[in-house]
Amino acid sequence: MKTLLPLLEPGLLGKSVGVIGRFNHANQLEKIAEVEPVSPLNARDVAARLEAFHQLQDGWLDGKGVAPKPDGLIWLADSFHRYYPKELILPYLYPTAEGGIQAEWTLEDYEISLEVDLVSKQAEWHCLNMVTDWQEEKTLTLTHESAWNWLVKRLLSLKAENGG
Amino acid sequence: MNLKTLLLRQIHPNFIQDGRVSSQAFRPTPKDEDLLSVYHGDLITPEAAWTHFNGQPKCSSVGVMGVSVAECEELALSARPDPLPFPEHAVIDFSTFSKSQIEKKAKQLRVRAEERNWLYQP
Repeated sequence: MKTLLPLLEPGLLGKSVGVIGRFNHANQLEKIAEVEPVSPLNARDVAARLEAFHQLQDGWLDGKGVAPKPDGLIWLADSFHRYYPKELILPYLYPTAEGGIQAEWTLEDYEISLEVDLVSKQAEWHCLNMVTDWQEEKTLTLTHESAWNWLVKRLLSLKAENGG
Repeated sequence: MNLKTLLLRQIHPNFIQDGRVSSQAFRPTPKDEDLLSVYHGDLITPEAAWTHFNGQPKCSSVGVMGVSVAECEELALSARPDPLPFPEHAVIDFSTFSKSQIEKKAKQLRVRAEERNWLYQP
């Protein structure tokens, strides 16, 4: 396998790239003609993002940081697939230092986070209105479908409040 | 350090998705004793801070964002030099706040840093 790193300009590092190359009769790559950035189908695809976190190992955060448990990542991806409508604004997903996942949404004036513990399956909802300073907190048990229903309804409500 | 001093924060590769930085980048982890590590912007440039940080074992940053001391003080967060690890090191102190208050302040710092945009990206 050849590495593309020597061909990547600094601005392309960490981005998805498309590669145009020439292959010989043995189907071996002879020459790379072009490397350019491409947009994935959806850069916020939940399943793909959580799948990527399987690669994390303990110490991932500057020597600290607990790796998320694989079965927890599978459970969360499955739960999003079951209960989170595809047409609803997708969350940004980040690992937490404690081995969990934090989902975040920015909805106009609202900054929202849902910190998910992959072991207990509990999550801390925190919603802050950046203009009025109003905030809302709630603990959700994500093994219950009702918790997902609450989450979806709340996001739809906040989205509607911001003009849809 | 004065109100205009920028406090430079390194952004870990896992704390950015599709160009958006997580609020986690602006709050200390439980192991940080409620002190968020930053670089003192009067003593080092964002580029030099990034180079220094990435030169440390196990450390990785995709770029540098920043908030000012004044912005911290507006949120009742104190900032101070902490030159023990290295001369340009400083901290933002979250130690007097609850978990919920820390989450709120992290969101507010994130938005302020985002409005300022990246100070350095390699």
